[in-house]
Amino acid sequence: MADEFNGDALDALFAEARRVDAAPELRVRVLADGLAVAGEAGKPANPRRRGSGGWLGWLDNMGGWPALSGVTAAGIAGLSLGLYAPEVVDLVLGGQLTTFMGGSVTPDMDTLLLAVGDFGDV
Amino acid sequence: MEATNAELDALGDDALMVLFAGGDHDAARILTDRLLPRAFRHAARVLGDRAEAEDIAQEAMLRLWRAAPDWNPHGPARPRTWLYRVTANLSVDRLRRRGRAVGLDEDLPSSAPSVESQMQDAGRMAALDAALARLPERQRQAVVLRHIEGLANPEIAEVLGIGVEAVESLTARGKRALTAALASKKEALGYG
Repeated sequence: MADEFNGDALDALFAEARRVDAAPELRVRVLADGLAVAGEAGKPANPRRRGSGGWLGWLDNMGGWPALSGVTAAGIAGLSLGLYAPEVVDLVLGGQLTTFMGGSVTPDMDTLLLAVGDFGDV
Repeated sequence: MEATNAELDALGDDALMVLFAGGDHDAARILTDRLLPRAFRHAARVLGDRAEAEDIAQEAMLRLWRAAPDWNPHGPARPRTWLYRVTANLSVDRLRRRGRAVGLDEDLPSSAPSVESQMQDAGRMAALDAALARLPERQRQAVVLRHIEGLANPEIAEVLGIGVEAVESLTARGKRALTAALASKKEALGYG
């Protein structure tokens, strides 16, 4: 009986297991830990996310992080939720945030005033 | 002058550890890309639980970051092997805490759920996990490291702290046991 499953079938299962990857959100947490350890992120090591209530629960129902285009979504979501320092998100995005913000992940006063100005007089 | 991403990509893990310890954030990113998937897959297959595997992988990587300042790039340990070892130990600790561990090289406990019962509503990876879960602890680790992570036997021996001959024996017995456990489920797994 065992002969019927020998060789290729088990190897194919192993090959399938090799394609399993870590979730983008885990990658963000790990990088945040790295920067925290390096003493430059300004935040302690990040807590593990257990449970899936609220916004994260909604995301899980939508198919999880892959539904939001992977690592970028995780980084942006982390930034928008205030979970991760901008430096972490920038690192995850390979410097794209720095480029977008004109060289710094912390907006200067002119940028902020310009953004406020976009809303017009109130 | 900072190294470009291409230059960093060409470096070995040891060199990246040194750069990370010196404050190079891109080194952390590349190390994460290279090593996190390995730690996660290893823990996921040994534990059979994705959430627990994420915890273990994150903890193992955290220990790697903390080890960086004292890392000896010319020492015998490689970051990859070191991380596998930490992941293996953390996974074993987790298994023992939740009381599902099979002894180092013992026969299967009679209370272990059958592969068939665990496969009823599960997918192919769940079936593999169910079969792996029935292996003794070291067999499971050796099979995962050899056949899923692709490590050579000497590196597995280093990770598990045993001899190369013992690794050969564990992987051979483990693969036979897996084959036997999954043999009757070939059609359910989509083969044949």
